[in-house]
Amino acid sequence: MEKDYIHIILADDDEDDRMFFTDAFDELKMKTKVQTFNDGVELMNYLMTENAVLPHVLFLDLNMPKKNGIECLHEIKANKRFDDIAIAIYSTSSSEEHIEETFVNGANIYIKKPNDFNTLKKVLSDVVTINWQYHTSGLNKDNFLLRM
Amino acid sequence: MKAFLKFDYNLLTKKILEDKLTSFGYKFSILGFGEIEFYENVPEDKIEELREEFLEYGITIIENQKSVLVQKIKDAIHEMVYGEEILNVKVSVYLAEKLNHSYGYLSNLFSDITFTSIENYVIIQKIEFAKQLILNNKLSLTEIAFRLNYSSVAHLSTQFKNTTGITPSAFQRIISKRREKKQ
Amino acid sequence: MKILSIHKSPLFLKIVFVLAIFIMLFVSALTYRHMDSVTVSSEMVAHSYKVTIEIEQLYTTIKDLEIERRNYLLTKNKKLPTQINFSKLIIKHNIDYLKKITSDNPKQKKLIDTIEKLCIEKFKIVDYGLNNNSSFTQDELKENLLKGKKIMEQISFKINEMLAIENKLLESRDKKNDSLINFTPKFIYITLFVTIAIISLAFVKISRDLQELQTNNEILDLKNETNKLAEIVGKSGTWHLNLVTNEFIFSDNKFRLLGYEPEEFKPTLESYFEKFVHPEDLETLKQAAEKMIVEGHLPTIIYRVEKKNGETIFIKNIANSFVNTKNEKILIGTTTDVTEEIQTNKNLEDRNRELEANNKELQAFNYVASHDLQEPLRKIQTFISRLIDKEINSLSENGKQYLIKIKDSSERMRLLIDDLLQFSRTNKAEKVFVSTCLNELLENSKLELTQIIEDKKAIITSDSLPHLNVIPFQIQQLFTNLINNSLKYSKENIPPKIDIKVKKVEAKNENKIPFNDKSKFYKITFTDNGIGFDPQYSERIFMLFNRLHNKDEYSGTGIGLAICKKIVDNHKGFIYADGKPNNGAKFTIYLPII
Repeated sequence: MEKDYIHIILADDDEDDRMFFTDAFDELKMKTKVQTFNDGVELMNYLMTENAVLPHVLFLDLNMPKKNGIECLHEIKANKRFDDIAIAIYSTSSSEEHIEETFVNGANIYIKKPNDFNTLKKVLSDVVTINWQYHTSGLNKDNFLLRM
Repeated sequence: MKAFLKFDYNLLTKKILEDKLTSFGYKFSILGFGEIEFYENVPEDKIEELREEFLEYGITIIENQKSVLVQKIKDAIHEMVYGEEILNVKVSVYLAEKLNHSYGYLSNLFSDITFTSIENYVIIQKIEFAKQLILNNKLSLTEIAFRLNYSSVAHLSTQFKNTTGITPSAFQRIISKRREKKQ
Repeated sequence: MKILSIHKSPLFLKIVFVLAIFIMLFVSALTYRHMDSVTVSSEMVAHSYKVTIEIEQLYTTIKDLEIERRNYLLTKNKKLPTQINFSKLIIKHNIDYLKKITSDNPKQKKLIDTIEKLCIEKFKIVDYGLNNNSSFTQDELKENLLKGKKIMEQISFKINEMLAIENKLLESRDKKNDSLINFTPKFIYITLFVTIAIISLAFVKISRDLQELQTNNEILDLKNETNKLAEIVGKSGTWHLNLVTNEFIFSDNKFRLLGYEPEEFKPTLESYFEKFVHPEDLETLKQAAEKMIVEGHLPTIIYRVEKKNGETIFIKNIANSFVNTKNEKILIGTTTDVTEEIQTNKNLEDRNRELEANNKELQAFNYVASHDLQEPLRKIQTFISRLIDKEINSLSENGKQYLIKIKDSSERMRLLIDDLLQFSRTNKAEKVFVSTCLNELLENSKLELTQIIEDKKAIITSDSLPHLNVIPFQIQQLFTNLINNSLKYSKENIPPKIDIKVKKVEAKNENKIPFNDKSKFYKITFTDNGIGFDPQYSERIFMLFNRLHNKDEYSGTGIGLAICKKIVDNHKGFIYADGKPNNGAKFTIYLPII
């Protein structure tokens, strides 16, 4: 982790969830820079700008207005520029089949939004840590699948 | 039309190093374990140039001594996991012997720098290798479990699920569906 | 059988009739012959009499001649020669005649020849006498007379012989005639008897057949009447179509079906099509009718018909053919008014569709509700956790307690919503069946429950499960729920033991499977050593929200087993529970092998 900051982006239309997210990272002792966006359109606009600082991990809520998580996922996976981004689907519960679908569509991580703050902190910490391992240890990003 | 590849990472890295260092101009020798010895002193700016070039290939010139040791630990673990002989030695013993430090020291250092424990890192590497073997499709889960020194398939499955959150079979299913989609 | 014997009768009767005729002709022939014989015999007798008379006549005439000769010789009466000659002529005639009528009897023939000769001699003598009478001496006269007498005696002798023969003949003929005549009545009796016998037999047979016919007719009449009633009750009618004569006959009720009184009009095939059949169905019906005429039967066909009063009804028609005694092909058909059934069906279909739509709506509602309830609940729980984390110490004792209670309640609500969501997912999910290794699913389930299994030090043993066409996620859920159930309701301080066995069975051998055929199932049993349950609840535990313990004893929502049942239902299988209080529980699942 050294002096590099881990860049994290969250796209979620729910104000409270954004707050939980940023608070959790605030309390975690990790060198992270967190950005949040209110919906898919804002997110994609940001990502597509030329000098955008691309995140190491991108957390996508599924149910967003204007452009939902799955649409963003497809757009991101279709663009070579975003190949290095680990994409985490951050959502309320889904069926088993649906979760597998998101993996098949290119998501690396699936996180079911926890209902306890401490659990949230642990989950986010684990995700970032594991992702960092992939980043630093030359592990195969294509096989990076994580479900929490 | 498809061609299937297998990578010999050792040879790969060695070749790149050789090519790059040869064109760099300075006399060198590759010592292994990610160590290169230059027979002459290389100026800072040249090192920076080399660093830039190496970064393109994902090769990082490590500054920090501590980082160097951590990298050595990682390499050792990598060797242990991916080596042809089945690891029957305890990790702690293996590392301590190989790197000439007490395991306690190595362990603490590793955690400080990487924010992960050695044990955890070993597991990550084993699971990573397991993923490769699963996708290779040549070995059964039982054989993979044996190869990676797990006491049973269940043990491998449990650790796989604990690490990734999904079962080995689900993993295989998802990756193959991904491949189908790409077609 | 009755039909068989009646059919046999015409032929049988013909044979018997012909036989009877033959017998009667035969008997008649015999009688005729007999009569003939009698006639012949009578004629024979008459003949004999005639011959006798003729012979006597001849003798008389010859005697007459003698007398006349003698007279002449004695008296020399000039009138007598004419008489004598006349007599000679008569005698000649007589002899000729006798010769004729005795030509069949050789003896008599011989005798008459002899007599003829003698007569010729006599004539000679007579003629001599006649010619020489005037010049006769006494001695010559005597001689002539004596000669004459001698011949006369000879003739007389021969005549007597003839008479004797003829008499004998007459006697025998008479006797024969008598016997024949006596036999005649017998013959007539026999003929009469045979005739009576034949007529009696015929009478008996005919009257028996007649009776049979009558009985059959009565039965037919009865059946006919019953049929008519049946038609009325069943709202059906029948018809006959003679393919040769094109005669189209409707039963009484068929007329009524069409809204007419029986026999109100004369039906023909063309008029039926034109007048009654609904124009939209006409083409199909005509085609079917053509086929029917060719192939000889009409499979069930339903079409619309307009009654006399304008009402449209649905008609179901079936027809078959047979060949009658005149070798004509007849089509017989039944027509039933199925308007009610069709309407009922349509109503049922409509209702079904309504129900299905309703059901889908409810399922969707259930899913959306469960799903959408998750969000706010999660927030509540997260904020509660933050409160407890950060602010619990600034609360009073009561406040802390209340907060904890809120946390517990919201957790319970989450469990409920999770389970409800799971339940609605087993309904909503795409029912895609894939050949799956059940062992793998079981392993996955155990993996999911690793933590609890470890905590409780549970031991799970299992048979090797087979491959089967199933919905993989659902069966995995099923296994997970069942194992979780056994783990949850384990005895305190006793490590739970769960044993899973599998067996291939046939429906007819398992009384728990409501089929009785050879369809094959896998019977999978989950047996545990937990706290068991009272078997009277073995059906209730699968009902939604049904619990046997309150939530303080054992956590649970009462949905888990309902989900199991739903999953098993989705696979068209069966699930049963057995248990004894404190003696563990056994869950038996039957999954059909498809």
